[in-house]
Amino acid sequence: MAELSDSYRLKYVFGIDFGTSYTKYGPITLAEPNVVQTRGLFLRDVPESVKMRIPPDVLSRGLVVGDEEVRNYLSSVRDVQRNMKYPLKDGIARRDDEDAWSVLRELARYVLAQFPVADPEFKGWLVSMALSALAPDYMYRGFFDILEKISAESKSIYAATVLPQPLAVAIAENAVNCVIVEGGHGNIQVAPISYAMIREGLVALNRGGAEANAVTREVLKDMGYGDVAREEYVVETVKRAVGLVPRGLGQAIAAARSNPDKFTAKVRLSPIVEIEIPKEYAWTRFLIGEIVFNPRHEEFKSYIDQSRIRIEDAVIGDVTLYGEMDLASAIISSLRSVSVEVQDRVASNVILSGGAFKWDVPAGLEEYAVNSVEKIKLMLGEVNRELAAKVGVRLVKEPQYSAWRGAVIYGYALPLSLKWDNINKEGWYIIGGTS
Amino acid sequence: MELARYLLIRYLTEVLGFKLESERGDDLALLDGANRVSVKAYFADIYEEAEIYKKINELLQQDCDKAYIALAKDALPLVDPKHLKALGVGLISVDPSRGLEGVELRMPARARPRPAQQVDLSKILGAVNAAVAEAVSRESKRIEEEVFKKLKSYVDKALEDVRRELAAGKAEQRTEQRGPPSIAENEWVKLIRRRG
Repeated sequence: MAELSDSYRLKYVFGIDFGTSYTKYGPITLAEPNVVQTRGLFLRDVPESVKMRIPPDVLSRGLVVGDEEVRNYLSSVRDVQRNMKYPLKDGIARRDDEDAWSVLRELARYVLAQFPVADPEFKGWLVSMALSALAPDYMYRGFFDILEKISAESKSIYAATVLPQPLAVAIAENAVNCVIVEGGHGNIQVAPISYAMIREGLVALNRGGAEANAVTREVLKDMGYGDVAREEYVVETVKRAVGLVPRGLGQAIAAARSNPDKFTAKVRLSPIVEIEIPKEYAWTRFLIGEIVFNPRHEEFKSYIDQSRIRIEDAVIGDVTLYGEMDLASAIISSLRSVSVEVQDRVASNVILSGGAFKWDVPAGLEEYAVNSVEKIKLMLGEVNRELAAKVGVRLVKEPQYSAWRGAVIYGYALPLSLKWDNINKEGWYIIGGTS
Repeated sequence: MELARYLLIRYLTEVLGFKLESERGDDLALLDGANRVSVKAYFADIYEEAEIYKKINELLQQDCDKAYIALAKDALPLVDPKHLKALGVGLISVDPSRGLEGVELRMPARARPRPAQQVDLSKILGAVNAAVAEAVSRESKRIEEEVFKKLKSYVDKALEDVRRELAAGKAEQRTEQRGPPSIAENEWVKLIRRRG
């Protein structure tokens, strides 16, 4: 296969980052990618009168994707709950979930169709896709099949490749030796990287922003706000507004109990709804942030024992997602798989990315609350002082787009002569070729 | 005949309560409240039927709310009451020999729409023409301004596009030589390229 020129690659590499909630996509020429929700609406149970208004090509596919398009048809579908499909759970689509794969196919068609090309020299996109590090082999094959089908219709794809999201983040951050800690809504992936992702070192935790939301919800219920706690938006807003990551949970709770006035808070959700964290619940603000970093505390026990919060191990493919493992242990466990010779270099650059690490420290509470970077440093210090002294921790510059940016840089750099290899999971899958 | 006229005026003003406004020839103009009443007082020694109808016709031309014709009692057989009723013109008979009592309202007048005023078509046409001309000139000015604005924005946009394309072309040339800074300086690029 002939190599394509650098100038061609600088125009026609197309990055797609398939996140559980949002898909970020667009050609390398964009400063920031376009974003669309990772979901599709099946046009089932549509009344005959509404069917007549739907364009025939949309109706024949039976499915719409795209934020605007889904909103347009929401009112036409009788049972939205049943027909709205979020294809990825923790970044994974189940092999036998036909609806999920239909949505992913439609989504891929949709994102590529947003960028039509009229250039006579255009030979097709070089599509570089970022998937969860936990994605099993069948997902790689599934995405290549999808692009084959799309290209058979439109001849718009030249070749495709896939890279794990932690590697994409490392590329975007220009870090060749590092530990990427990607904290998503459903899980946290810890991936050591030394000139490539070290798959054996991948440690996944079965918790993330969702568990912080669950604690927030339980606290709201205990405070008597059970009615509004049903809305995910309310829970997310309250979490962002009042959730705190404690410097040390014990001391922080003791301080909040002895001097609760300092820790009370109010959240105005709308002109008519305001939530007040009363004195007797002020200490619970620290539980919201702590659960992401370390759920092994007595304070969480009562919630877990009553089955109000679930923290348990899960298995995806051949990867175990640990429920209760704290983040410091996860990072250390991940580093153990790295050659001793380079461990120091890798450990010196711990990069946090994802929404689960977005925590603020309100003015006046610096003594008790910290941000994610500080928290990881403190936790590592408690487990291993020597290691903590060598570790450098930082947050990514663009939490939302770094995986997409890494994907387009990877697509630009990866030589076309390197064919897709199922074992190494590297190289280009030539569309319409024999690989 | 002057006596008959005198009795008629007294009857109209004292018995019916009208207010005398003016007298001109055999025409009396009176006011009944806000309504204008015209009375044609036609008294003659010898009546001619044709003359009576001529007078009635004159009455109809007048601008008033109610119209009466007043005749001497002798003339009554010459008037067709049905005709008067159809026209809505009232009839008053005067018998001077009986004094004020000799004045009788034989048929009441019907209130009628005032005869349309004489319309000066040329004036109206002139006014219409002037209004239309003004509206047309105002509208044409507006359209002219709008077209000018649109053209200006199209031209500006086209110029801007051309400028942007030129700038992009230059940027692309630079990129082709070195690649965007974030890519060119990225260690991963060199690393991945070596894998080929």
